[in-house]
Amino acid sequence: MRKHFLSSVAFLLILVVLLAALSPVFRPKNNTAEAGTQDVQADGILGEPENTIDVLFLGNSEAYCSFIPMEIWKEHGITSYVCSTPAQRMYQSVEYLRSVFRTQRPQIVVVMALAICWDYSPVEVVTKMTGEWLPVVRYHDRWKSLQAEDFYKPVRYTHVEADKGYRLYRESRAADTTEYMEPTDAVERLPSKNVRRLEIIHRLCQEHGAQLVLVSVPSTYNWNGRRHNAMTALAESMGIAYLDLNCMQQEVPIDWEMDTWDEGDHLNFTGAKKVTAFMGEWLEDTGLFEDKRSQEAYSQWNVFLQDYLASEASE
Amino acid sequence: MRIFSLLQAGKHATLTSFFSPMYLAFFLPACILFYAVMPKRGKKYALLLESLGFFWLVSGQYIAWLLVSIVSIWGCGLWIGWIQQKRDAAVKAAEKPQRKAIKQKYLGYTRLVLALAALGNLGILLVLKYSGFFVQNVNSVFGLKISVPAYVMPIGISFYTLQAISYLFDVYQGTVKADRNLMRVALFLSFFPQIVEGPICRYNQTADQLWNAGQIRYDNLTLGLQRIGFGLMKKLVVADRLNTFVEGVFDQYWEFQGGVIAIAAVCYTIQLYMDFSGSMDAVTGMAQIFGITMPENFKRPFFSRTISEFWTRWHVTLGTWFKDYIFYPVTMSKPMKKLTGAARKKLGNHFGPLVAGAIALFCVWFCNGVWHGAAWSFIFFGMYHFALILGGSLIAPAVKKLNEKIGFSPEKPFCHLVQVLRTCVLVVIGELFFRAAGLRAGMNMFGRMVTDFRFSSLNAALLEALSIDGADFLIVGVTVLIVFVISLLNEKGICVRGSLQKKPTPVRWAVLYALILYIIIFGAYGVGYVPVDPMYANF
Repeated sequence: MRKHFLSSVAFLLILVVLLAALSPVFRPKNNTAEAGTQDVQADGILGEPENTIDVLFLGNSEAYCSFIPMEIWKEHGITSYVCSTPAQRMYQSVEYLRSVFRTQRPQIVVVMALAICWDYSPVEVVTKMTGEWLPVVRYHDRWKSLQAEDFYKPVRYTHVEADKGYRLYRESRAADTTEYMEPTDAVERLPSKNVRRLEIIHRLCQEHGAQLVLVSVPSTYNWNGRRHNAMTALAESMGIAYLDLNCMQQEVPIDWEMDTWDEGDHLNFTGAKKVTAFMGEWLEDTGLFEDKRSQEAYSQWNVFLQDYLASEASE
Repeated sequence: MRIFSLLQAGKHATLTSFFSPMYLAFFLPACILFYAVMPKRGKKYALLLESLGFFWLVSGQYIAWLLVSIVSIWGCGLWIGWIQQKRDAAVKAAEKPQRKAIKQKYLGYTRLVLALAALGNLGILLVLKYSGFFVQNVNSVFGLKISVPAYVMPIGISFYTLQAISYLFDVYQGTVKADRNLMRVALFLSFFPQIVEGPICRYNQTADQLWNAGQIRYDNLTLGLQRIGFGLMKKLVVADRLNTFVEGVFDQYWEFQGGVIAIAAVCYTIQLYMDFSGSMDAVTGMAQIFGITMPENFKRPFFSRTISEFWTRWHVTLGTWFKDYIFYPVTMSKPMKKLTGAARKKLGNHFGPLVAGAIALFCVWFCNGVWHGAAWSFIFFGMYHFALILGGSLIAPAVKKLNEKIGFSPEKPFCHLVQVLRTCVLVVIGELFFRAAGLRAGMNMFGRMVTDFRFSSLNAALLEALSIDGADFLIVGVTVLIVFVISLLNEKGICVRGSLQKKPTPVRWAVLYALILYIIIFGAYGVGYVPVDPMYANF
C-alpha cells in the first residue's frame, strides 16, 4: 500500500516536472498574436516602458468598451491602460494586477464592480490557474508554430497597443430602459470569494502605493438597484471609493437609444466618450497626476493619439 | 453553503462529458475517494449513492422519473417471477396432459405484465423523444397546425430504457431470476459511468459485479486510468479537432464540392468512432477502477469484411440487444416459423428462411434507425443497412459462384483488404446520411459526391474558414495511425495493455508520460476550441 502510494506520488511529481520543463518552450516569447499571446490587447501593457502608466483599468468587457485611454491622454495628459478581457473574473484580475505591478506603478487602479457579482466554480479556477502556472497547458496549441528559437529564446515583451486596451464599437442598438435602476432597498448577495479577491486587490494596491476605485459603468443589462446597494455597502466597509455611473445621468448623460452597441449590455464609442470624459475629469480632480503631454519620454503617446484622432475622424 | 451550491440539482451539464475537467478532476476522484474510504459492506451503497447523485447533478428533477422507473422495473420483475413460480407449482401438481394448457395460461399472464412494464417505460421514451417528430409529420401530411411538443429528455434515457427492458425480458425468458433486492436492481440500472452512453449491459453481466464490488486494487486503478487516458486521446486529439471541419461542411454542404463532402463524411465517421469508442474506453476504465468488467462496445469495427460483421463490432451491446430482443423473438414466433416452412418449400433452403429473416431484419433496422433519433434521416440510415445486409444475403450464392468462376478467393490477403475497404466505403456513406441535417440534405450531399467529385476548392483559405489547417490533419492522421496499429495488434490477439503492464517500470512510465503529454499538447481544448459534447449522449 505504502509502496503504491509512494509510486503514485513519484509518478505525479515527475509529470509536473516534465510539464514545468516544457512550459518555457510553449510560453509566447513576446506579447504579440504572432508569438502566440492570447489576450493581445490586455497583455499590451507588458510591453509598455516601465513605470509609465498612471491609471489601470481592470475587469471584463465593460472596461474595454467604456474607457478610452487616448481620450484621457488627449484631454488631461494622464496615461492609462485598460487591462481587461472578456468575462474577466476577479481571480484573473488579481493575477493581472500582480503582473502589472512587476513593471508599472499606477497610482489609481479602477476595478469593474460587475465582476464582483459574478459567481464561478472552483473547477473553472483550477482549470484556468493550471494554465497560468503551467503555460504548456494554456499555450499547448503553439505546437503548430514552434520554432527552434522557442527552446532557448528568453521572453521579451516589445509590443505596445496603440489603443491601450480600448476596443472600438461604433454600431448602435437601442436598449430597453423599462426597469433600469428602479429604486429598491434590496441588496444583492455577493459571492464571498469575490469579496476576498477584492480584499487581495486592495492589499496589493496599498502595498504598491496605489488607490483602489470601484466603478460601475452604465449598463441597463447588467446593473440595477440591488447591485448598487450591495456595492455601496461593500465599498463603505472596505473604505474604498465607489463610482456608480449608472446613478450619474447628469454627469454621464448616456442616451440609451444611441450610446450602446448591444441593447444596453455595453457602451459604443459615443457612450465610451461620455464615460471617459467624466472619468478623465475625476482623475484630474484627484490631483495625483501631472500633465505629461509635452514630456519627451511620452512622445509615443502623441504618435498614437494622432492615429486615434485619424480613426475617430474617419467615421 | 458553498458545498451545497456545488450540489445543486441539474446545474452540472458538463458532467455528461467524461472528459470535462469537472468530471475528470473533481467528480471522478471524489467518487473514487468516497468509495475507497467506505467499509467493504458499504461500498455497493456508495456506488449507488454516487450514481443517483450523478443523475441528480446532471438531470435534477428528472431523478423522480429514474426512481419511479427503477421501482417499476424491480416490481414488475418480481411480479413476473411470482407468476412463474405459481406456474411451476401448478405444472408440478398437474397431470401431464394438462401441463401445456397451464403453461399457456401463465405465459399469457407473464406476457401481460412484461408488456405493461416494457410499454410503460418505453412509452415515456416514445413521448419524450418521438412525439415532436410524430406531430410534425401529421401536420405536414394533413396540413394541420398542431403545436409541436419539445421535451427535455433525462440524460441517457435511450440507453437506460433498453437496459431496463432487457432485465424484464431476461426474467420473462428465465435467463435470470427476478431480483428481490431493489438496491441491486437500482445499481445495475443507474451505475453512473454507463448511464450516459451505455454500454447497454445485461443483468447477468454486471449486476452481481456491481453489488459485490470490493476494495480498489492498485492494478485496477492504474489500468483503468490508462484506459481513460487512451479514450481521452481519441476524443480530444481526433474527434474534437475534426469537429469544426465536419460541422462546417455538413451545415453548409451546398457551398462545397463533392470531393470535399466525401472527405467530410470520412472525417465524420472517424470523429464518431473516436468520440464514441473513446467514451466507451472511459466508461470501461472507470468501471475497472471499481473492479467491474464492462462488456466491450467496440471490437475494431473497421476491420470488418461485411456490413453484417461491422454491426457485430460497432456498438456491440446495441446490436446484441436488437438481436436478442427483436430479431430472435420475431423469427422464432409461430407465424414466422410457419412462413419459413412454407417459403422453404417454394424458394429452397437458402432463400426460404430469408423471408422471415427479412421481416425480422426489417424490424431490427427500423428500430435501430428510430432509436438513434426522431428523424427520417435516421430511419433511412436503418433502412440503408437493412438493404445492405439483406442484399448481401440474397446475392451470396451468386457471388460465391462468381468468385469461383473468376478465381477470387476471399481468404487471400488482397481480397480481404478489398472487402474491408468496400465495407468502410459503405459505412461512410451510411454515416453521411446519419450526420446530415435531414434526409433531403443527405440526398443532396450524396448527389454532389456522385456528380461533382472534385477537390479543387480544397485549399488553405477554405480550411482557414473551417478553422482547421494542415497541421490539424497531420496530427489527426498520426493519432489515427497510432489507434490503427494498436487495433491491428489487438486484432492479431496481442493485448497491448497487457504487454505494457509486463514491462519494467521506466518503460511503462515513459509510455504513460508520452500519452499524457501527447494529449496535453495536441488535444483540441482551451482558447479557440469549443468543448464538444459526447456525440452519443444526445441519442
